Amino acid sequence: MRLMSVSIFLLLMWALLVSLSLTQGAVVLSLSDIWSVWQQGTLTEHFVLWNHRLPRMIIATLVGMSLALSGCMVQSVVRNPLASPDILGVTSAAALAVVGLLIYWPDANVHWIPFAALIGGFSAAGLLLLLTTKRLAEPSHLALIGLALGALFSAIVDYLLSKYPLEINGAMLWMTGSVWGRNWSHLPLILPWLMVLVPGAIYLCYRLDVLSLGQEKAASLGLKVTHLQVVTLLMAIALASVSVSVCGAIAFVGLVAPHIARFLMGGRHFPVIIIAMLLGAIILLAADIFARAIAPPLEFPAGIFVAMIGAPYFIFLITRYKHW
Amino acid sequence: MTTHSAERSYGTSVDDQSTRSNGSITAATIATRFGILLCLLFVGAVFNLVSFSSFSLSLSDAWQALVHFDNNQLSQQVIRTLRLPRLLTAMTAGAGLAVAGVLMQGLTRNPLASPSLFGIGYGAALAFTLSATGFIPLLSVIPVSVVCFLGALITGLIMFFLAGLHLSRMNPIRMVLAGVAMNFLLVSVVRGLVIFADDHAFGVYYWLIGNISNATFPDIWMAIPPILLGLVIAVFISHPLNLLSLGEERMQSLGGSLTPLRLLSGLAITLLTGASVSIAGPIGFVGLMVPHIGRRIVGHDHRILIPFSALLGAILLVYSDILARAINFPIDTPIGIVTALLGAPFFFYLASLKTRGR
Repeated sequence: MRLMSVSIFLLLMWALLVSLSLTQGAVVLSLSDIWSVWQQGTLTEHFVLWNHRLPRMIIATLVGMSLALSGCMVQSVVRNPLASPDILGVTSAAALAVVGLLIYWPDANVHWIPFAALIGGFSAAGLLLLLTTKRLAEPSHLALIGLALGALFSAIVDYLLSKYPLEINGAMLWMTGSVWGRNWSHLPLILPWLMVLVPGAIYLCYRLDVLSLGQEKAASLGLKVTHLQVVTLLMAIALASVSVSVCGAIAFVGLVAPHIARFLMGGRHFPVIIIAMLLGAIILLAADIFARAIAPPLEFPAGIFVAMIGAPYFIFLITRYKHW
Repeated sequence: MTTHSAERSYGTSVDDQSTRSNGSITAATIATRFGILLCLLFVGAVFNLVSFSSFSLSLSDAWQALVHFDNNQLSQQVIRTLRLPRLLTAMTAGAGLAVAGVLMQGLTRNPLASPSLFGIGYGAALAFTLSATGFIPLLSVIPVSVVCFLGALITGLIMFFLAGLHLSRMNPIRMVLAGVAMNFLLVSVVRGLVIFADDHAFGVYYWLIGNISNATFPDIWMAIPPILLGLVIAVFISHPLNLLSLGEERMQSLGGSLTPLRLLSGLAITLLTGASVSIAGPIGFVGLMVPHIGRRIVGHDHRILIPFSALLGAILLVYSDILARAINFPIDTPIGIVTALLGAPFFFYLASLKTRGR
């Protein structure tokens, strides 16, 4: 029942943000405009709405959802509420792959960028798992190794950018994360993954609940602990890389959304996952509206606003966390 | 619970190593090692002055430029106005960042503490960006090094509490995570400001990595007094730091007190980091790498380790600067990239070492 009421409230909030997202920006529309555009598709606003605002809104929602889900899964494997996909080095590896593509293959089609990010994210994940196979039982060290890998990848990115300074602007925008200029062609890159991985996550919910009792207890209850950890981690990394590949490196959604969800819903995974996905969509959508409405013709990358909200919240969590 | 045991095991290993190294290293060997380091610094400095230049520079040019400077000779002009300030910047910033790293690792008794992982460098960088873009007019009036010092001081104070250093049991992973969050926050604010100010984007990007190719003499003269003051304080508190490495309880039972030590080292860390960042930008990983290398060479006694690390930091940056010019020859690579390319694998090595140690 609680799940029902909270999710209805969040859905209403999301709908409000959707209407804002469709109307605000360099060209301000009203809701009645949207209705008339819908009725007769010949107006100039039709182009703005159909080719820019609508796909952008949908992409922000989906990316927010998948980042939040990824954060939920990483946190339940690492069993440390302060872990998140950006801390595991996946995002900087994806950034490295994209910057490498932009520099060494400038003629490549723009549509290759998401695939490069995916490959980068998965290779980093493979490397991370390879380096920590014997240490999965001490998950906080997964985080430390991930951080170190991330530092390594971003050092290489910085080197490439200093060597080929022409790419700085595009790469900086991409590394901060932005929903700007996303259109229908980006949708097939993320939707199929979500359609497979969200049911998968819901299927794993019960097992993750058992895992949260502790590794020994879970094992004695007949759970294949390592197997579950690896599968969950791979799913989380896939979700994170896919979202990075569409929107660039947006930090902190995957950290903050699961937290608020757990605060609202308690420890069971199923309600937490549902609420976290809704929250993720809301956070990213709100950040995107902010980013383009704050100084109209100028657009900020949405990632900056997510970080400005997310980082203080994360710091607040650190001071609150008692189980050091 | 698991992390506490990690901390404890690290603490005991420090004790073991320090007793062992104090037994084996004599004053003479330490003097020899200092001598070798001084020679290395001298060779590096000379090489730094004349190597990898678009104009051909010779050793005699360098000598002439230093001893009796002839304003009409292009090569001497290059050495005197471009190379010399650059060399001095590398040396002062390297020494400052390295000693700040030693102090942080000594104070927190944590091998991963360093100014760049703590966000102090970016705190100074944010203050610099605020003053360079003119968002807060007051900051544009104050000299840059003071602004950077203020930024470093504020971030340092915030981080002190966030990282849980005021608690009796401090957790290394909490410290690293708090630092990461702080870095994320500061970098995103800086990026937002840069996008707003637009025309500065390129310069600020370079400065954020750490870059010394535009060093000038007035900046260096501004930075040297606070760095010297910081070094003096560091040497002054080296004995209490040695006591602290035995553990807080044992330190207090031996008559040392914790609060003045923390205040003084906090002051020294902010002075050193703020001044270094004001001339060279937030060069990463120097404060992380140098203390570890220093402990390998001269052991854990802070009275020797601090001056030794200052030398080592200067050497690291002088040679990194040569590398920064060499990597991509006619183009100058920012020095922060060289230290990051060296330091990130080192960080990785430390992280995996910590994992294996248990």
